[in-house]
Amino acid sequence: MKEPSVTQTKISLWRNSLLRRYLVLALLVAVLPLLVVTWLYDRFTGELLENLGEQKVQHSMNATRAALSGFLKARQFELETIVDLPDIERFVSGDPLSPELESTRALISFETDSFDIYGVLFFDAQWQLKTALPGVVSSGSPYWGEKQLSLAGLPRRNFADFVLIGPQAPLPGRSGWFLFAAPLPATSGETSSSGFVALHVRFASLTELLKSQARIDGFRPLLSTAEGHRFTVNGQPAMEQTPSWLSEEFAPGWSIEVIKHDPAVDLSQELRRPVFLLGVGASVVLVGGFFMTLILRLKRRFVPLIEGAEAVSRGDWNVHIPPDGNDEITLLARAFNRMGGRLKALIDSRLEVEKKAVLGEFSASIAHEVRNPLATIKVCVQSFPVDEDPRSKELITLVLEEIDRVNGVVENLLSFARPFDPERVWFTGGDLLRRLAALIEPLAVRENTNLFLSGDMDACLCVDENQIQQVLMNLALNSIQAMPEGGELRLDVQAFKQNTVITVSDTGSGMTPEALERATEPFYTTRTQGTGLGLSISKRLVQLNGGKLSINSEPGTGTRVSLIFNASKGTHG
Amino acid sequence: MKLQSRLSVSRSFRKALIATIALLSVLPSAYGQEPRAIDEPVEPDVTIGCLYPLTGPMGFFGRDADVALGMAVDQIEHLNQTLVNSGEPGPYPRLKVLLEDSKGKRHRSATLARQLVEEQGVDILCGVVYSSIALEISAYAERQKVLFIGGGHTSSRLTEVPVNPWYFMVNNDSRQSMRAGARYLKEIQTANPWTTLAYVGPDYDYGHQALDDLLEGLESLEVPFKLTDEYYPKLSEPDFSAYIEALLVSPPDIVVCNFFGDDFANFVRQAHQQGLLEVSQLANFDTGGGYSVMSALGDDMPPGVILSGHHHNNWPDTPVNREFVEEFYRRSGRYPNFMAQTSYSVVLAVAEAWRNAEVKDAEGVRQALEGLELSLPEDPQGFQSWIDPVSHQMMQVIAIGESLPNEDYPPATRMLGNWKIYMPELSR
Repeated sequence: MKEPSVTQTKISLWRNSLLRRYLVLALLVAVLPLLVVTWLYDRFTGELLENLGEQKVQHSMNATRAALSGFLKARQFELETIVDLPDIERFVSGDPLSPELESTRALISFETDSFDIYGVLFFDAQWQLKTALPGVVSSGSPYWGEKQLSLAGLPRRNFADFVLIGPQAPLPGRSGWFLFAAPLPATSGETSSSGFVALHVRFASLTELLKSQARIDGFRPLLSTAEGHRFTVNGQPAMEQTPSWLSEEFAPGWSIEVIKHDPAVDLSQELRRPVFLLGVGASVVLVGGFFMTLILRLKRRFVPLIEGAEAVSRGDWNVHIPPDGNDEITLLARAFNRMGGRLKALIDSRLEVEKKAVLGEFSASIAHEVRNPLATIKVCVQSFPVDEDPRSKELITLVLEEIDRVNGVVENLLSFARPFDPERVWFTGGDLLRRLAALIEPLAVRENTNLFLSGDMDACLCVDENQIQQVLMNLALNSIQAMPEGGELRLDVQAFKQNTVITVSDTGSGMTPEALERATEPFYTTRTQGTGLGLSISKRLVQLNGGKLSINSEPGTGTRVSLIFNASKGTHG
Repeated sequence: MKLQSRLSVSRSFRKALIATIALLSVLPSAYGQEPRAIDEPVEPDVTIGCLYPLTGPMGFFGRDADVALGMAVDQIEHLNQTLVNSGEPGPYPRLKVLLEDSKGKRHRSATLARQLVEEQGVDILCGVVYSSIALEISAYAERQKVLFIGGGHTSSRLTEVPVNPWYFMVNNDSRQSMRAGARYLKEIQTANPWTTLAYVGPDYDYGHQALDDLLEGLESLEVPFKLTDEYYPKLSEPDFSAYIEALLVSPPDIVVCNFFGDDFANFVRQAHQQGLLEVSQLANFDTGGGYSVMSALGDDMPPGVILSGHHHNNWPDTPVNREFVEEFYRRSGRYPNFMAQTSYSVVLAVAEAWRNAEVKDAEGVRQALEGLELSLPEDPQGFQSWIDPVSHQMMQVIAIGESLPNEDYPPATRMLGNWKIYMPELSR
C-alpha cells in the first residue's frame, strides 16, 4: 500500500481546510440575512416614508392654507378698522402731522403695533405715496431717509374689496414686502375715492407660515404667484424649477406649492443604498477578519498535532507536543504525548523481550553444544600420560586453563540465558562489602589501587547473597581494570528512607556518553579481552533481586555504579 | 494740560462713585418702588423722563435701568452733599427721574413720551430700546425742542445727517460697533483667511442699518470678502431653524448675527444644535456679549463666539467698573446687563452738562452736551468718554472678545475674554 506523501497530507488554508468551509458558511449566514433585510428595508421603508410624507403634506396643507388665509384676513380686519377711522382721508389730502389727526394717528399706531407690519402708507388716486406712518419694525425708506416707494412692476390683484400689491422680493439690505390696500372714503363733495391706505406688510411673515410643511422630510413648500415667482419659507426667491407635486391657492394669484424630491432629500435617498451596501461590505470584512483570525489561531494549535502524528507515523517516537493553553486542544496534545510515551515503552519492552529470548536461546544452544565437547576434551587432556618433559606439562596445563576459561564463558552465557531464581534473605550491606573487600584486596594492592569502605554498614537488604556478591565482584573488577595506573576504589552503602543503596565508584577512565548508553547491552564491550556480558548479567541479576542498577560516568573522572534495593520489611515479608 | 485735566476729572468721578457706593451700602434705598420717582424735598432742577420696557420680553432691560438710574441719582446727590459740606455751592442739579414702562410698544412709547413732556413737564426724555421707536420720539423731541438722551437703542440713523440738535446718544451706535467689528474681522483674516460672510439681523431699522454700517466698515478697510446671504427674521422670533438651514446649504466662513437679548440667545442655542457653529464662525459686535445673553445661555454658549457689548462686567478691570458692578449686585442681587451702565450714563451726562451749562435751561444743557467729557465705568484706564458735537454720538472704547468659561458672575458660566480693544475712530 502506497503511503500518502507529505504534500498530500499538508493542510492548506484554502484548498482543503475544514475551517475554510466554516468561514464561508459563517459569512453566508451573517451576510445573506443582512442583504435580505437591507433590501426589504430599502424597498418597503422608503415607500412607507414616502407615503407617510405625502399623507402628512396633504393633511397639513389645509392647516397651512388656513394659516396663510388667516394672516391675510387679520390684515384685512386691521385695514377695515383703519378705513373706518374718522378723517382718515386727510392723510392724503392734508397735513398728516396736524394735531387734529393726533387721535387718528394714535389709533392707527395702536392697530398696527405688530412686528408683521412695517407701517401704514397713504396713496393718492394715482398711487403716489403721500404719507408713511412708521410701525415698530419700520426701516429706511419710505419712513426714514428718502421717503420713496415705487410700486412699478408689482402685480396688483383684487382681494374682496381690497387690493393685493406685490410681493416685492427682498433687495440687498431690504426685506421683502407686500401691500394690502383699501380705497379711502370719498371726501365731502367728491364722489370717488380720494386715494388708498395700505398696510406695508412684512412678506416673510407670510412665508414663514409654511414652516409646518417644511418640516416634512422629502417635501419643500413654496409660495408662488400667478406671475410664476416662487418664494422660500424665508421669503427669499426660490431657484427651484421642479414642478409642484401639490398646489393650492390661498389668495387670488397666490398659492402654496409643495415640491417633491427636494434635492437634499434626493441626496439622502441616493446615499442610502450605498451606505447600506457599505455596511454589508463592512460586515463581510469584519466577520471575515474575525474568522480568519480564528482560523489562523486554530491552525497554529493544530499544526503541531498534525506534525506530531506524521512524525509518529515515520517511527519517530521521541516527538513531544508542547501542551500550550488550557483547552480541548491542550488536552488532546497531552493525551497524544501520553499515548506516544506508552507506545514507545511498549515497543521497547517488546524488543527487549524478543532480544533476550533470542539471546537466551542462542546462548543456551551454544553452551549446550560447546560445554559437552569441552568436558570430553578436558577429560581427554587430563588422561594424557604425563611425561617428564616440562614443556609437555606446561602445554597440558595451558590447555586445561583455556578449557576452564572457555567453560567460564559458557557458564556466563548460561547465567545470562537462564539465570537461577534468587534465594533472597536479609543481609547487611556491611557483610557484603566486607566480604568483597577481603576477596579483592590482594588484587587491588597488586594493581596499586586504594580500596575504601564506607557508609552505613548496618543497612539491610533482602537479596540472593551469591548473585549480588557476583554483581559486586564484577563491578569491582571492572573498576580495577578501568584504573591501569592505579586509583581509588570506593565501596559504599547507605540507607535512604526505604531503600538501601550500594555504590561502587572508581577514579578510572570513565565512559563516553555513547558507551554509557550501551553499557548494559549484551556483548557490548570496549575492552579487547571482555565478553560484553558482565554488566548485562549484573543488571539482570539486580533486577531479579528487585533492585535497580544505574551508572554515572564521565570520561577522565571515573564511574559510579549504584545498586538500589527496596529495604522495606513490608515488601519482603 | 488737556490730558491732565481729563484725568483729574476722571479721578474725581471715580472717588465720588466709590464714596457714594460705600455710603449707600449702609443706607436703605427706596428707588424702584412705586411711584417710580425720586421724591425731592425741594423742586428739582431737572426732571428726566425715561422710557424702558419693564415688562414683556425686553423687561429685563428696563429693570436693570431702574436700578442703575437710582444709583446715578444717589451718586449725584452724594456729590452735591459732599460739596455742600465743604462749604461750596452744589455744582450738580437736583434731579428727579421718572421711569415709565414702555412695554417695548411703539404706540405706548409715543403716548408716554407726550404725556411726560406735555403733562408732567419733564425737561429731558431718555430711553428707549427699539431704534424705530427712538426715531419717532427723536422727531417728536425735535418738534417740542425737548432734549432726548438716547440710551439703549443703537441704529446709526439717529445720529446721521441731518442731525437732530435735540438728540444725543450715550451708548455706541451700530456704526461704531460695526466698524470696530470690521476692524476685528480684518485682523483675524490674516490668521483665519475667511472669504465669505452672511448676515442675520432683526427685521427693523437697527437690523438693516447695522449691515449697512458693517459693509461700509469692511469696504473702507478694503477687506476682500463676499456677502453670501442676508436674512432678516422677525423680532422676538422663537424659531430660527429655517434661516439656519438656509445658511447651512452653503455655510459662510463668518455669520454676523445682530439680534440681542433672548432673541440672540435663541439663535445661538439653535445654531449650535443645528451644527452651524461647527462650520461657521459666529459674531455679534454690538450687544451679543451682554450679560443677559450669557446668563440665559449658560453652558449652551459655546466657547469661541466673537461678541461684544456696550458694557462688560469683567472689562475694563478698573476700580470704577468693579465698584459699579458690585454696587449693582448689592442693590439688585444680580449682575447688570449693559443697559444698566447706559441708563446710568444718561443721568450722569445730564448732571454733568447742567453743571457745565452757562445758562441753566434746555438750550444751555443742549449746548453743554456737545463735546461733553464724562468718566464712565466702561472707560478703560486713561480714557474718558466724550460726545461728538457734530453727530451728538458718545465716543467710547469698544472691547470685542470671545466667549470663554468663567464662573465668576453666576448664573452665567461663560464671559468674554481674549479682548481686542478699539479706540473710537473719531478722536478729539
